[in-house]
Amino acid sequence: MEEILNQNESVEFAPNQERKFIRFFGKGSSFFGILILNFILTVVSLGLYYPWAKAKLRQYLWNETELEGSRFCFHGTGKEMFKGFIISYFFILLFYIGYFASISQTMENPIVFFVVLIVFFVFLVFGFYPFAIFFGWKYRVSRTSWRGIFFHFTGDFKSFYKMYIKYLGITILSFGIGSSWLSTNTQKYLFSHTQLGSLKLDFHGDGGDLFITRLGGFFLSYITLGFYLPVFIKNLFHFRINHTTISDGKIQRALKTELTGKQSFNVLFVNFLLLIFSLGLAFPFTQIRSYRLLLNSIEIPSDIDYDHIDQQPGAYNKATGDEMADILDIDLDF
Amino acid sequence: MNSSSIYYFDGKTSAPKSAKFEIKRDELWIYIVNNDNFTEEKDNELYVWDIKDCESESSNSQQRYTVYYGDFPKQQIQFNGSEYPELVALFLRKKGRLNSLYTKIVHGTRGWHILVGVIIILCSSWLYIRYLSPWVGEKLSLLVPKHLEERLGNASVNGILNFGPLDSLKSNQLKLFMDELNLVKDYDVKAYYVNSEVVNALAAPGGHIVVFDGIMEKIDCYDQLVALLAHEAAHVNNRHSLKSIGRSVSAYLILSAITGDVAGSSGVLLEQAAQLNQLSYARKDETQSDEIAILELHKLGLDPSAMMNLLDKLEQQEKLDSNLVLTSLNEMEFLKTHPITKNRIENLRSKSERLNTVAEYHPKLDSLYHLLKMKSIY
Repeated sequence: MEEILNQNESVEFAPNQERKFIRFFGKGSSFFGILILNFILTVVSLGLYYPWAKAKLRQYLWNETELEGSRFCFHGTGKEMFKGFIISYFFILLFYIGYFASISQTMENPIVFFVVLIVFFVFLVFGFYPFAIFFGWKYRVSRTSWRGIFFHFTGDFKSFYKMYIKYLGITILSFGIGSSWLSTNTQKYLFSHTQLGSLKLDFHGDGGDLFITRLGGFFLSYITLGFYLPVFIKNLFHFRINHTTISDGKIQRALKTELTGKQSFNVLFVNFLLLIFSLGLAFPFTQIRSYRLLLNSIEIPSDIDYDHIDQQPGAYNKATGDEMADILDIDLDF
Repeated sequence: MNSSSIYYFDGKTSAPKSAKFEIKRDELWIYIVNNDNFTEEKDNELYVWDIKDCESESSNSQQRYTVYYGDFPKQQIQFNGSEYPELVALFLRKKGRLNSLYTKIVHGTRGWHILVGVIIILCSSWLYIRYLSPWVGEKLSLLVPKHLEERLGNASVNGILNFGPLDSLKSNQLKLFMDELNLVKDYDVKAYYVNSEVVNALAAPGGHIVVFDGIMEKIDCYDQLVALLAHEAAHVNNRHSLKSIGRSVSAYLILSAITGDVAGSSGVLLEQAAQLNQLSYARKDETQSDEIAILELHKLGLDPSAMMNLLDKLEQQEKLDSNLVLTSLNEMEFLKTHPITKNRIENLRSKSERLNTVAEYHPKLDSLYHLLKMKSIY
């Protein structure tokens, strides 16, 4: 709590500050309130309110995130996301029907079950995931603005799918080792086709680096009984952020995170205790603590002119139909 | 940028412009001021917004209030809400009741709000786990077609047969005994006699009834066997095992249907709670079957007290099995599938006395029973 108060006191923006950081002002108590209200309305409406609840949640989180004295804004609406929600409902229904239809077969004949499982898996990995990742990103990006300037995504699904299938194939053939390259190249594709007005985003991470980070992280977390996990998470975050660049057309600069293993450990350890002793009810508070830790650690290049970013024509297109893909909350790990 | 000023953004570039405002009836007039030298001169850049078309977004403690106007490009102004309460009030009024409730939550919540929230969550979770999810589970399980239920039964019987070898001769005799009683409606009875010391009998979905040698040893009169089978038949007729499966999956099913999400620690907690709940529902099913069994005995012209005799035997077995520690565990009725045998017997005794049954002798059942009691020749 103390931490939150201190942050609000220092909300004043210092104009000549050399170093610039992203700042997150979310509060556990407000977040908790929103989640409760969302929960009540979702239950009372038998689940139909869910997309609106999601919109409220995102509006809150976006609006508590500040860059250069101005907040981000999420313009997506529950009405838009409702379509995607109905589709995801349909998929879940399909999954359960398939599951129950095969359950009796399974016990007599396990092969049938494996066939059903494989068909479902193939559909998920080859069709559903790339679709949801691509269009979900496109939707979220196109509904986000800062100082009235909209983010916008210029990728096309065909070239994304080609890239995705290539690395998915490598991942499957290498029994999962290639997943680091899949993940890195997915981020590379999405970021390099994303811009905030005239400001361009890019990502220069290498799959090999991620692979080594992950390998070391898994190994050390395992032998230290999980105590290395906070450092592992820190390393992953460093990989994602420090290889992300922004460019205003003249200069290209990398973002930087100052997150330390100690900070990561402190927040994760307290979160863990909070969750255990509150029987999970402290979830909103732990979530906000994590967001605050991660977002506040991101330093943005100070020699980019944030006051002269130009809106791109056609950045904001209401009738794209991408909202249908914003389903199942597939959150990428970056 | 100074946090106490109003800034205007035209939606074309990210350049902030210092601004002043005036509220004129249903319109917001925004003047751009240069170097803070605001004079009401006519050559000031002026933007007029129709208040009803504005959207506003507020942050914690009203530190940052943002108002948007227009479709694309979207213009916006930002200011510190606590310094311009008249603007905040104006836009809060414009919001519907629900949206202003959200805004109030964003502005700040008090301790008791959180307490009320926690109570609401706990109460609704309890209602959900105790009543809603079992109810939905039972209703859903009734939608399962009969042939599927029979297959499911086959599979569970295959599992049960691990306890011991199936005695096919006695299984046939048991089937004849059951056909004589005609207790199971709607299903083809499949009887299994398993050579195992387990003192139990059970009913699997789709009309499968399994009797273990261990319980047969305890029974000393044919009417007790009738009582046992009537109890199991009641499970079959009321689809108890299917309902039980339905109840155990429905908690997840509903939650994932509502949120499209099944992961997380809440899932584990839910499972634990549902498990505990499952037991008390299972007791309800047992009590129901007991009561149906004495009614069946009554209908067949058999003494309902056979049921109590059977339970007495089971209780004696329980006492034999358990040492002191185990007994005290057994007394914890809530944690047991079957209601405590003593309670069961008392409950049934009062019910059976009201029936005033005139008991008759059934020679055919008695002879079939004696066949079953004969030692197997191996």
